[in-house]
Amino acid sequence: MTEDEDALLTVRELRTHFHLDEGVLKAVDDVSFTLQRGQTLGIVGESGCGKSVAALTLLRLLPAFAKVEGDVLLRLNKGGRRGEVVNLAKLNPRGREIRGIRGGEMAMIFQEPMKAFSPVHTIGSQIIESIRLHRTRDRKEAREIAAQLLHSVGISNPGQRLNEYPHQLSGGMRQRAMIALALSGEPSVLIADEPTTALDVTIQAQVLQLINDLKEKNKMAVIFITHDMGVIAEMADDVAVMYMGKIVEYTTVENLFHRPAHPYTIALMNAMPSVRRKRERLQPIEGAVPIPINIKPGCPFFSRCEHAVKGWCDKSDVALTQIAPKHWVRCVFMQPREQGGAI
Amino acid sequence: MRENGKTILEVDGLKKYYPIRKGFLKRTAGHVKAVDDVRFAVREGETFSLVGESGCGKSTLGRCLLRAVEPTAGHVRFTLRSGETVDVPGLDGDKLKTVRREMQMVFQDPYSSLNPRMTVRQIVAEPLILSGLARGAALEERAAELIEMVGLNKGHLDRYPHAFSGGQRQRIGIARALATNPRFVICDEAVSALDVSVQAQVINLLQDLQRSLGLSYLFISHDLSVIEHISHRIGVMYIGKMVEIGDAEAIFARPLHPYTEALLRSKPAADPNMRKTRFVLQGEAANPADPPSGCPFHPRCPYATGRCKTEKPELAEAEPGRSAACHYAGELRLQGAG
Repeated sequence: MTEDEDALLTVRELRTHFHLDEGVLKAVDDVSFTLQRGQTLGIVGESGCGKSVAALTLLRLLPAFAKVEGDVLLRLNKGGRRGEVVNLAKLNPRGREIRGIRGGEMAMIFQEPMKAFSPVHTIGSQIIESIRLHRTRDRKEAREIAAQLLHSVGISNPGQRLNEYPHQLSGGMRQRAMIALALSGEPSVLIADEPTTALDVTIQAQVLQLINDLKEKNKMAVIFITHDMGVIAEMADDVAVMYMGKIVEYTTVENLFHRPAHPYTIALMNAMPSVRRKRERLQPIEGAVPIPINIKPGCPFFSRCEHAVKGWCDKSDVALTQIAPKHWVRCVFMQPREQGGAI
Repeated sequence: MRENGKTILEVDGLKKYYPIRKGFLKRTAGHVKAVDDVRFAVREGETFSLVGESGCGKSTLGRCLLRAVEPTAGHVRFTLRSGETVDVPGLDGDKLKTVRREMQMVFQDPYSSLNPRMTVRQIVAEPLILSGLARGAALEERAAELIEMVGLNKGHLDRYPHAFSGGQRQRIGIARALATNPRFVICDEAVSALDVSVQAQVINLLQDLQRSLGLSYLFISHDLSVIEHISHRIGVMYIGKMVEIGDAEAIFARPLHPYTEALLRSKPAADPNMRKTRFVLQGEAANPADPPSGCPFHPRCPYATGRCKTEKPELAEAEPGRSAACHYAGELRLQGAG
């Protein structure tokens, strides 16, 4: 993929493999993308495609036996090292440096705030802890910033809410508090992993709007992980479609919805009641996502693809190929012959 | 098969109140009105969907119908295959057994709704044994027939649930529900836990079975896209109350209740060109233990007037075949989805 001098985050050939008793599980396999300031990258895929593991890999939040390869180049925005580029993939996952970046330069919103918050500490103490780690040592000032943050995410009566425990808040409120916690270190990259999946649709609309407003205001870059194409259409500038650990299509949101190219992307759209015309019969993708342990070389979608050709698609790994400006696809039928493709 | 006009299920004045107990003596301090005076009817061969946000009482309502939860008051008139109409809440003994044979349920979570210690054969055969419908060779034959009906094969019968994916488990749940040859199936968030590619398989299966077996569905879901795709008619619920009932296409095109409009317009459209046309409803659903006065939706309603704060609107016919619980139904110009 193209090199970009001003990119805030450049991920190159990222691989996260787990060596299990049953074999090698390639949860993330050759993932590359770039992210600019003020941009939202959507990562979409079905459960088990590796989208959450990819997010956790960026922050180095995986257990020690996960093997990480590739580059995660983050341009720092704060402190004395402003402008410097750090390769997160090469850092010690338990070291001081990554701990300064986590929550500081790059923060994450999780799907289930009930699990992400500690149940035995108040909302306030958890947010204040993060502020004192990344912004100020002063307790009183930290408390004021925390109240301000809760106010900015639309929580009324923030002074009182700081003293409440996570279980005292409703689901929507908890997700807002989670966002406030993520923003407490003033990150330049916000990773949101299915932040609205557990919410009702009217509350989802509120949270999506909130994330977009805060992105504008704080000039953040957002990585938005979801399985919902509707949310992608609403939020993303660029989209990466993942299947079995690989990006199979990477393009702008307009291209994705109006000119999808990979058979998996097209099949996924046809299976969606929200995308299909009303009442038309859905076209499911036959079979289920295979378990990505000891997978054979070749296209990951080979076993379910209706266009798959034996001898072409299952021969060797397919490279992500550029088919148009800002449009990359991993399919043999989009690849020129000299690169091992079919055209 | 759809709409030969006959009603299969008629619900009238159905209530389910849960007492709130307080203090040392556990005195009843009030009630959570999970289902509050709900009235609707389902026709033979149609899919009637209940839609609403979590806590609106849609699942409790579904459970009240076959008395998995005992309703507090009201009527559930169910027409049996024999042509006889019975009122489910007052039944016991053999009649209730017959009702439960003809009214079955598919649950949301395919992981927790199947007993991990039973083989698929035992799971599918259990309703047949309990209702005394088949035994011996006939039981074996019926189990094989059922499992093939849902797109699995006989070889799967001897395996345990853990060997199956989410979509396959949901198929097993459907086979179990169909074992006693029901006429009416309650699908409580039956496809919500599935991935889209697999969800489409199960939706198609449910639609095929409806056609081939002449089933009527009560389909409960919070997913508006699925509801729009599968429903013939829709009931919209808000904190225990039915706020709008009508034809699916009509409701999606032009809702009559402001809450329905809010729901439809909160749903992200799967089209990047449609951005910014959404409107965002403020606030959260009210607490059903302490509902607001007047119209329960008035604190969040952008069209609310003084009358809405004091006067409770009843669900009334606003147009032929459509009803809404809003003082201004038909007067407001509300927008549908897309």
